[in-house]
Amino acid sequence: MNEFILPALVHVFEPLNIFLMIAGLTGGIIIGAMPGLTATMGVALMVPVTFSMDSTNGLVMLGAIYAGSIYGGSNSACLICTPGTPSSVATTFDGWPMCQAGKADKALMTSLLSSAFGGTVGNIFLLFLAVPLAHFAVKFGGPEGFWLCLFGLSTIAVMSSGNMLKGLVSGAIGMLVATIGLDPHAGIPRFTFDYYPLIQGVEVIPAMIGLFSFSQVLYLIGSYKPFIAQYAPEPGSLRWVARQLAGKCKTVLLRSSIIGTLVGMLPGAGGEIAAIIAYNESKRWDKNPDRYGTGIVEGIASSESSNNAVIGGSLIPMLTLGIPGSAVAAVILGALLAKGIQPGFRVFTVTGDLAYTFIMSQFVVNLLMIPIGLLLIKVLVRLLSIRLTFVAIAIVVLSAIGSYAIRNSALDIWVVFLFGLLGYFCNRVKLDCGAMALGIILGPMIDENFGKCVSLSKASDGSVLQVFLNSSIAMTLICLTLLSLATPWLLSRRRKKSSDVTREALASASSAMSDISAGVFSLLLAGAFYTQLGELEGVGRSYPSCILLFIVLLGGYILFNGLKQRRKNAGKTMKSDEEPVAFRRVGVIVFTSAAYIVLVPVLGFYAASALFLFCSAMILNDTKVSALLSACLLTAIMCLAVWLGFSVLLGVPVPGGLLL
Amino acid sequence: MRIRFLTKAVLTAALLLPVAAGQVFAAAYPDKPVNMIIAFTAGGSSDVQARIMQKYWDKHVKQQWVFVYKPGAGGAIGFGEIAMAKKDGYTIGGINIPHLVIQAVTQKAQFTINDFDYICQVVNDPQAVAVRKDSRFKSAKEVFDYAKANPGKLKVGLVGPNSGHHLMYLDVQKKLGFPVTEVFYKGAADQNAALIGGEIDAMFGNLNDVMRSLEEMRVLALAAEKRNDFLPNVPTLREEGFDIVSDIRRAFVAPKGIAPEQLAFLRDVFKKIALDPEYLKDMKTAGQPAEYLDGEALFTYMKSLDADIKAAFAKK
Repeated sequence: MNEFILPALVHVFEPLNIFLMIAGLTGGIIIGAMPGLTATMGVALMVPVTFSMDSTNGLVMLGAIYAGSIYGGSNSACLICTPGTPSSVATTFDGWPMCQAGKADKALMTSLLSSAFGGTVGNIFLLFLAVPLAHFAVKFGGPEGFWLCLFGLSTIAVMSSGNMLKGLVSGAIGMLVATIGLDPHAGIPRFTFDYYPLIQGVEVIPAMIGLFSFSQVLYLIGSYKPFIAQYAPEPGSLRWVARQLAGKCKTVLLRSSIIGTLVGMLPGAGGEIAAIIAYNESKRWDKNPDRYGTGIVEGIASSESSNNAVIGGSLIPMLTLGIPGSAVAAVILGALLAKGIQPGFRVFTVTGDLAYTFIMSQFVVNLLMIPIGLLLIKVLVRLLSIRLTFVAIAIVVLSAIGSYAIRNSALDIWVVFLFGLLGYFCNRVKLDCGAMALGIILGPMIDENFGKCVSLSKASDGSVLQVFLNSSIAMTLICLTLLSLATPWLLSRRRKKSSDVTREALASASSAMSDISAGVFSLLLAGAFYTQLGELEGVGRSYPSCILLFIVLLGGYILFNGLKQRRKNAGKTMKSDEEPVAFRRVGVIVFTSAAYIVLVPVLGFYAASALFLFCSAMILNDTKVSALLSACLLTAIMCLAVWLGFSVLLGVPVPGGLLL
Repeated sequence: MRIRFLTKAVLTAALLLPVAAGQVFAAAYPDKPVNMIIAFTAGGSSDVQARIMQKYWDKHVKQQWVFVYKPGAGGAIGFGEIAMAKKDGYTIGGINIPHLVIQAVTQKAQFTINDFDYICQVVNDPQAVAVRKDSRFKSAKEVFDYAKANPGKLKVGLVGPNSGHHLMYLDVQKKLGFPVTEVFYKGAADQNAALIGGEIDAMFGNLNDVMRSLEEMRVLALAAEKRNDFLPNVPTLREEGFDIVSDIRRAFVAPKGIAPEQLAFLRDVFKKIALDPEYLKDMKTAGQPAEYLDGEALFTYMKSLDADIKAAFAKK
């Protein structure tokens, strides 16, 4: 190893490599910040470019894009509550409240510095411990994967400690929706409601763009605010953030980075899972867990440091065993193989020059990320000075093209729309969108690993239990899950001692109605899926059946609770503590968005977008400037920006139609 | 005023540019870029292979390929997209065999093998029987013998279900009797990890996929007609006395019914590429086992495969 380090460092500092790193980082951050354009896509789009490069240069560039885009995702997570990549879902929990409190720059700087720290930690593991860790990673089989996912799910209990029942039912709904598509056990269509395109299933990213981003559009349009958040740049923010991170966030950062590295190593588990687990561990061990979710530095730091640590982790099994630890690592593996570079432990000896140059370049990338990120933050916070209405309308167009670009499927644009309505509804009836997203992400992995365990049980004389419990890793994970489930109870004990706010008082008058709606909705959804159970068999049937039963029981209980509440409240005058909502404006944007999605395949993407932008801006205009002028400006700028960004620079195909 | 003028200018420009770019002029085929549908994600094995071909396509034809990725449902979404594309010769795509045939038979897919015009086959990736490096099995015969002597004890990993691996597994079961515990994995990466980690004892995997983790695995035999250049020391199953041949192939197709001269043009260019020694060298570097088969021969093969698959999955 030592004989490679110095020459590798010399290679890294070659001007071409430095240039590729800067370009890759900048491009990566922008791609990551765009909702819908994920790290995977960003790297995949650049793979053909590397074909004409030297393998080392190509790899250095791909690594820079990877790091940049994973960090970039946090920008939109903080500024518009939309995770730019799935990895930054957990960043919205604290980033968005912090931005709303007028501290956008601090939120963004926290995520930048944490990302750089996490990335460096992950890379240290890659440099020194790749071989032993790779052997550990492949020990994660069916049972271990199953328990890891359950552990991830159990964090719902921590996450929604105020309202656990609704959190659990939300998670289960997410898992149920994720079973749509090809049944992984029998390979036959499942819950497609006789609509063939549903066979491709509900893709995670459009679902999340809907749940978080489109629903946010509806909320923003309905609020009477002129801007997303007040923002006045303060000098010395960076120093303040750095001192916070180096001081009280030390442990959070280190723990989250290690979690990120470990989760990143496992095939199939990527940044989104790492960030959520890290976030909840930080919350669990905090002296005052209720602070989480109100916009604190620790929350952003744990999510962002862990998802960047995933990078180093995911490269460990990829380089040493040829088994990618994340979707992006899989793409990079493809690029390596195309160059004829065989992964394996020999990668560190036979092609040591390449491997170590790449690893060393990742250290430099994480350093360079700080100045480049700071520069881009200065540009991106300007977003907050644009009228909210226009930002919201523009997000609809970005969501549409971003979700379409993932797999060029018109279905995904509808997924965004429907999940947007679902998310808006959930927010109003206090169902938990975060828990639902977790269900959508983890559901398929639980499904698949559950099926594997059932298959494997044939070899141990049919005892499923034995398969589930037979490894020490599995037992450890089970203990962690139990601990996690007990957390809300422990928390409530601690809270009783210290605080005097009774939860009963918080369960205000409006909760009766929201409980009834949430309960009825869960039961209806379960009913709809029940009608489709017919042709299914085996594990492909029993798994969704379990979820259905769970939803029915919990949904029924929530409904019952709501009815009971209402009877108790009958006669009392209700005092609503909710913000006023401009329902007419929400109705308008829902209608124009639906019309837009219908028109995209008819007129073509650009024509439909221009029409949508213009009409929505005309109707919803709330500025003193002439409606016509501002509508024209918005239309022109957005169309030009999307055309330059997607069609010209990235070469992503857009849906075509009659006109454009 | 100034702003209003600027607005107009920008708006006009934004509207006119794409119009100008999209103008169609009549000329010899192809006179505009050809859409290449890939039914898997960018950066995957199918994509990498097509990108290598593209390099050589550009030497023969002025118009380039526009890659369109339509992943989902194990390729079925993209294959359906090719079958239903406009028959103007400007949309072609890559298919994987036997995936396409199995999907048509078992998944209510929106296509059959008769919905395509076959350009040619470019890859034949044989299945391999692989075990862990420290496994006690030294030959395929030992694996099969052990399976028969200990019903249900041997854990065999497959990618699937309803995949090429699954098809080979059914074939082995029919011909040799193979009472094992089968475990399906989502993809080759998971399957390789499971074998190396010891969750399964043996696996059926593609040559291209087992090559990635060769340091950790022992390839016992190939389910091919003849030995492969990538692993010249590995015997075929036939040499070992088992009549099993199974592979995954990649081919290029157009929707059924494009103009005959367009099909002839495509077949001709693809043949030139597929036989180019430079191209073959690139394919070898990328670990892609190249094997050319012309369109007619490929269609004949598809028909016989279709019959086999209908028989194999009949009971399901």
